[in-house]
This record gives sequence, structure tokens and C-alpha cells, in this order.
Amino acid sequence: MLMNRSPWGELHKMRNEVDRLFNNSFQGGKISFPFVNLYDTDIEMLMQIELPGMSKDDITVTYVDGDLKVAGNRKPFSVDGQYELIRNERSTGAFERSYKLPVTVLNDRITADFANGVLTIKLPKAEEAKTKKIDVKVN
Amino acid sequence: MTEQILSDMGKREVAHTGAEQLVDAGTAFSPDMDIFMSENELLFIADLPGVAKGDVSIEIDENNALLIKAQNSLKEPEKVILRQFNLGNYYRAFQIGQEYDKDKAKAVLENGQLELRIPKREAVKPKRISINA
Repeated sequence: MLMNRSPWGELHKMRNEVDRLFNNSFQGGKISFPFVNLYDTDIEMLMQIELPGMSKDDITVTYVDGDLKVAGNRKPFSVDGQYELIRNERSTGAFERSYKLPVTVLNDRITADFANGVLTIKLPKAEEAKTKKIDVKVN
Repeated sequence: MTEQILSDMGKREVAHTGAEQLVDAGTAFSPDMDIFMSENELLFIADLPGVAKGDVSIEIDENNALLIKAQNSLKEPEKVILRQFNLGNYYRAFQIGQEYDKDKAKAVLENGQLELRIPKREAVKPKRISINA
């Protein structure tokens, strides 16, 4: 079965609802690019952003007072010579995404890596934010 | 689903046909693509985020059926807080015109972006004929 890669498909409204929960700075407009996944492991928050065709120099990541910001500009593919664009599905343009993280992270230990068109940001949790197992005695 | 790209007989179109060619594709995602056409070649740009060099396969058979398959190397932790994209392999099929020379096709994968060029056969390329005074 062949599917569109975004599970939300045409349901931009639904995606906007989800984004609003995590995105405090985005003002209006539709959110379609780039796509972001956020995971929670016991020790860190892990964010993956799809930015195929970009290079790491075109992307900035900042973290200030609990706000994680990712910004960049994905330019259209530039052809050399006379070409007719007969199919145009790839999204381009400037973007800025901002996320208020639900847990306290160690801001001096945040890392960002760009590989194969995916930006991976690792945000190690502060000690108090780590998942703790509590043994409950059952009598 | 196979998409047709034919530029012979003056046609310049990308049409969808309902041909079922997904027998061995399993569950795969259709990558976003731009397609450019010049008088000398077809140029395909495909977004393949998460695909490492060596994990993409491009096949063009004797009938110029083009198949792009790629394997996503991203792994994901169990607990998802926000999901805007699915992880999985990529698959896309096209039927391209016979005037394109599969043996001269060239592809580059960089930063999760595939660039595939398929030139026209020399015999069908436009030729500039100089006029002798």
C-alpha cells in the first residue's frame, strides 16, 4: 500500500491543532514544512526534523529559557539551463519553528546533528525530569 | 501506481495510470518530487530524508519503467510526543518515454536528496544546424 508520508494528509486543521500544543510562537498560516517528530526517552527529549537537500550551514538551532527554536531557508532546486518544471511537490521557503519543552533540559548539553537530510536534536533531561521508578509496596 | 512521463509526439505531461506495480513494495511512502524537463534530459529531484548513501536503488528496465526504492535508516524511540511524519521506506514508479537513454542515467544522493538525470538518446536530441553563407 502506498501512502502519503504525513499521517495527517490533507487534514491541515488537525495538524495545526497538534502543533498549537507544542508551538507557542507560530502566528497563523498553515504548517506544512518541515515535518517534526518529538520523542521522549527516559534520559532525553529527542527531536527529528526532515530537511532533505539542506546543508547544516543553512539551519540554526537556538535554545533560550525553555524555548527551542529551529530556523532555516530551504531554497528551490536550482537548475542550470532551460528547464520546464513539470512536477512540483517539494516544499521550499523560509521557516521558523519554536517549541516550549514540557520538561527541564540541561541547556549546556543540547546537541544537534544533521545527517541524510534529517536534523536530530538531543535534549538531555535535568535530573528531576527523568522518569523515576517508584516502588510501591503492596500489602 | 505508475506515473507516465512522455515527451514524444509533442506531449508534455505527467499522467497517473492505475497500473498495480506494488507487488513487492510492501508498505512504502511516496517521496515528494520535483521533475524538470529540458530538450536534452529529464531531471528528477526526490526528497528521501533518512536515507543513507547506498540505501537507494534506481532501476530502469528495457521498457523504460523507472523504479525508485529507498530504505530509511532512522530508528525511533517508543514514546512519541509529536508525530508529523512516518518512518518507512520509499517507493515511486514512473513510465518514461522511449526517447530517454537509460544507460546514460546518472544519480547523486546528498543530504537526503536524490538527483537523477536521464538524458535523451543522441539521435532524438535537437541539433543546431549551422547555415553556411
